[in-house]
Amino acid sequence: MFDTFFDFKLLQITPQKDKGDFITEYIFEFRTNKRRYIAITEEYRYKIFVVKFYPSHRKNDDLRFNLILNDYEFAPIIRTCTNIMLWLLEKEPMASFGYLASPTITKDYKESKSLTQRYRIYEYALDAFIPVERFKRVENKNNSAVLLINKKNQDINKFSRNAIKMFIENYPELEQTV
Amino acid sequence: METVKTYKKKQTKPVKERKRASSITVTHKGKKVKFDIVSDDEVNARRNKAYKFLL
Repeated sequence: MFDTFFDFKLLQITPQKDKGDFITEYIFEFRTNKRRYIAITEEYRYKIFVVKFYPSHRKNDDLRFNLILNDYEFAPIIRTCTNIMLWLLEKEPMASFGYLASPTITKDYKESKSLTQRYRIYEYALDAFIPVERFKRVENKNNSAVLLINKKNQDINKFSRNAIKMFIENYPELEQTV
Repeated sequence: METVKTYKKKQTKPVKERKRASSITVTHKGKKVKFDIVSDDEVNARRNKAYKFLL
């Protein structure tokens, strides 16, 4: 299942012009047996990387991160994205990661934001393939949001607080949970 | 006669284990969001389960 993956290629590195938290965008591509995918990695302040992916033929679709395609290739796609994260970690040993496991949205169905199907799968896949001893896992199940804080950072609690603040600032879809 | 001095080991107070925060709540621009910190034990248990399930 998760033991297969696809080769990925780094297409482009784009430094962001405005001086906000979002610093650099990395664009990767990989081809599954059925279609081409784009994986975007956004590098934020504090060396936090957020990986997202979508099938390239739906690049202009607002719901490109919420799609569900019945290709039966989800596991190798997730494994490929995990490999991208490991590649970034090798390049940047202080890297921390974040992700929002988007809810599935189709014509007839809208999944709740809490504990999405993607969240449950990513949790398994990332725990298995990302070296857990190197990260502190900080999660918000109501928004299906996760931060993997690199333990090389000195004050992990302070770092996590700053990272969460930045996450809220840049991802307005995160809802109040208290 | 030879005398042997004995020294009593100084008693040290047991260090209280510092209670670690299990969640972080951040308020930003009026929005309050709580993130839970997952313990390493839990992550390891999950990892073992994940290996069995995924591979």
